[in-house]
Amino acid sequence: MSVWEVLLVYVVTPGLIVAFLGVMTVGVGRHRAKVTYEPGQAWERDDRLWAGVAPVASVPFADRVGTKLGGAHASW
Amino acid sequence: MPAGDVVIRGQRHNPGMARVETGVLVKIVPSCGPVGNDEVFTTSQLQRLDAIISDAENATGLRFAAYIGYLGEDSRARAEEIVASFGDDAAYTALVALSPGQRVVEIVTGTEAALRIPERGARAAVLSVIAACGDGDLYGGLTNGIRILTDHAGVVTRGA
Repeated sequence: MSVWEVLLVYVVTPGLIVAFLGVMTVGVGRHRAKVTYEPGQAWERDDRLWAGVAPVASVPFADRVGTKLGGAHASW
Repeated sequence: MPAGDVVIRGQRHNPGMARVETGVLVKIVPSCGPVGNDEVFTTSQLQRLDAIISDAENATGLRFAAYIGYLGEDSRARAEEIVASFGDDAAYTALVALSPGQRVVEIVTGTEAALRIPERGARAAVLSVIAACGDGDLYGGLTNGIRILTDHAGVVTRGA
């Protein structure tokens, strides 16, 4: 084997394999990186709404009927 | 559930019924199904958020929703609109809505959910949300808020 063939087999090929695995491990998913948010900065992303699918179970109250919305409000 | 629609004991074999922790049977209201999509959080965060919402709903029998986006000038009205969009489930819905651009959090509970989650519970959830969001942790704000609302709503034992 020539020197170039040795380099190809023992250096270049393993290097390409390692590089490929590295890209697949680290590179994939970067586009879904965690959104960094700093209080006060503008929010220019689309609105998002998540909700579950479990059937709702209503619990009857003997002497109370829900008539008002509840909740709370605050800012940071 | 409409006013006066008291669930009758003894219907333990009705698949549309569930038994609460105290032994009372309750009516199962059909789900409104999944809504929205993702991109704001990482895949693992979305999986955890999904699990938290699912666990909360299974435990409490309420519909839980999380929203991130612009809430407009009247943030409360917009949040109530979102809750109303759940149709038949609206009364049983608890929403944690964040508007990062406005730095506002709104928690809205439907008319029946408000009976389960007292105002004190909603305020506790809001405090937790603003503490997390003030540090830039929107995901933590949403999940903490839902968890606290869950704790205050109590547990419904399904099936009989």
